[in-house]
Amino acid sequence: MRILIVEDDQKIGSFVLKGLKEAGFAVDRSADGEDGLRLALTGTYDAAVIDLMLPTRDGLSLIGELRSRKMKIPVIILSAKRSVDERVKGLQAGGDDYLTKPFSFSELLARIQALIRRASGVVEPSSLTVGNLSVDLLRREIFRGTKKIDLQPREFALLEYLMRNTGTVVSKTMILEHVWDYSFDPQTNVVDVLVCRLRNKIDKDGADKMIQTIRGVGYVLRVP
Amino acid sequence: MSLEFLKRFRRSFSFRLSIYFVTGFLLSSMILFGFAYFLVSSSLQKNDKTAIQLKLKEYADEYQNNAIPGVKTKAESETSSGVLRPFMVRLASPHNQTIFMKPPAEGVNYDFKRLEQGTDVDSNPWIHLQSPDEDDALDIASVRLPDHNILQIGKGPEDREDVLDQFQNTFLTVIFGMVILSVVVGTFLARQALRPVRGLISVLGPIIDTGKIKARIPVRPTGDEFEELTVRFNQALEKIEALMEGMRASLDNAAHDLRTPMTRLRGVAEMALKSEVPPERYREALSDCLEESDQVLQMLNMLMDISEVEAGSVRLDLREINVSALLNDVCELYNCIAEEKNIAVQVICPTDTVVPGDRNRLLQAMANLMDNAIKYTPAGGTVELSANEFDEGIVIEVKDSGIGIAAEDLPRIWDRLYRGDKSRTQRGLGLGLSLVKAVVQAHRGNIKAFNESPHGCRFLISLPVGVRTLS
Repeated sequence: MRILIVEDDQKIGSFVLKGLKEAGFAVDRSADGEDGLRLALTGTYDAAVIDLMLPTRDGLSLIGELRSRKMKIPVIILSAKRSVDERVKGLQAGGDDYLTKPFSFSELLARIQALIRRASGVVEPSSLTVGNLSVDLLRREIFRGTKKIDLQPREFALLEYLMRNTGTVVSKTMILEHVWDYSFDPQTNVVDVLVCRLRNKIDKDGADKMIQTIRGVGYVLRVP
Repeated sequence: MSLEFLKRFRRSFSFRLSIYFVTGFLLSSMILFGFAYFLVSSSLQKNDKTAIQLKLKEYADEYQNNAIPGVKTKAESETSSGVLRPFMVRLASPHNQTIFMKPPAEGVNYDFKRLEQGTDVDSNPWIHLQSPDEDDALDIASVRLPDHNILQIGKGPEDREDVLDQFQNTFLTVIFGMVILSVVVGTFLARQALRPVRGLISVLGPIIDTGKIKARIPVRPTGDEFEELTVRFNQALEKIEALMEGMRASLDNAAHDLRTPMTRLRGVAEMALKSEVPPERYREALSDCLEESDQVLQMLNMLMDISEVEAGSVRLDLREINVSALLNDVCELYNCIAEEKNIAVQVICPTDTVVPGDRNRLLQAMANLMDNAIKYTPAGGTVELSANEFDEGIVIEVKDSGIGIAAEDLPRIWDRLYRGDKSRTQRGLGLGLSLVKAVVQAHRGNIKAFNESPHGCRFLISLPVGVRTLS
């Protein structure tokens, strides 16, 4: 998997580059729009992370150019502008996802993985299994080992989301977006409370803890 | 310097005003004079004709009594006494041949021969004899005497021209004085009338130049439009000053409140760097840093949200919002937390109530109110969300059975970063209610807070149905 980063800020660029390399991707970085476009047009990338404010050619026009040349490469937009209008503008220009600065690297990683997964057209599974935890998505039944677990709809949605991102840390914002479909931060601890309840149902009875909290970043579901 | 002043004066409105004034005055005086001149001159002409006819009758009588010698004698005696000075006397035969002729005294040479050509004195008793240079004219009345001789008396315009000349001279003298007077008075009046405007300019100038907005224009209680203008202007200045104060204060507050988490962040990082500690402690410190920086970010976002909504820089995405669905969404979001705290949440709302609004913003506002309600309601309490429809709009109510709001806090809860004593122990930024208020006001709505007895508080939000046409 090869990823292109177009970001002019030296520090942000290098920490994203380093992080993605550690996550097992091959990464190229470009610091300006024209160069980024040239690299992207080679067609060797599985995803691109593109900043909006770039020298020589801005991010939106870069993405527009890619799309007008029928390049289907998944693109994540990085931007310091956080208003809904800006987000909509970015997505209309052809971006697949939009992340506001400052962002957590884990969130960027999770979003890239989700995009690549979606783009590769993997057939939706009818069941998910992580360790001894298995979920039947059609019947909406959950088993930890042999024990059946009952969940409320939101808890089920959260568990499904965590299992689809097994091993990847997801942020509170991502959970709010996927479980409640909210694009704003309601400034509350609703996510923490829901995770807490899910954890009580999944990880109780002294079993190994599967849902882990990564302080300051988010939550991750792992095989213990 | 004085040239510059003159230039500015010529461009000034008071100069134009006085010019208009003087022009108007001159024009109306001219019209008045013209009219008076016409009246006087026509009345003088009428007088002359009467005098001619009287003279004609006198001479006809004299002719009757003493025939031609009588007329001659009378004319001579009257000429020497000066009575006949402006008059012309002519006696002619039945065929209009001059028998006797006495011209008027003035040195105008009339062509009296022309009088002999006209013979129809019976049908046309008035003759208008012009001098060769056409400057003067004699009005002549004729009468046929009983023996068919013709008697004619004429009179020149000199007398009435003297009067009219005098009239004209008097008028010109008066008008000259009046023009000077009106220039003086007009300039004075214009300057006087524009004094409030000059006051405005003299106050506004320094404000724009220096940004010191404390200055006010002195108000003169005249009760006219200028007083209103001055009062309104002062009000605008006051409003701007209050806004600037508010911005400065909230910026100070923001700087202060950002300093606290920044200090903690810095402290944690510095302590971790200084000491030799096991790796887990580093992780701990880094996590602390992340959390603190998240809090800074959250506060920044919130402040930006509030100022965006307040300034209207981001347009509301107005759609038909089903209020019942909105309240149920908020309730659902807090379901888990409410259950954890054992608080009963109830939604009472007619299902088909619709109001135009920005769903995300309204959700954000309601979530903040709900968050507060649950935060400040002890276990076992209740929170009630309800909505009612009225003609002008809808009223949404958020009611809880919590600790309520201290009376001294009540007027200040909408201020940015204000936190009551009781709320300081709770998680929060003191920005939630400012955002709620900003969102409601952006929808042209209103929000009020009340304390409920015996405990709890109630927030009332009214949203107008007409917001669509307003924005």
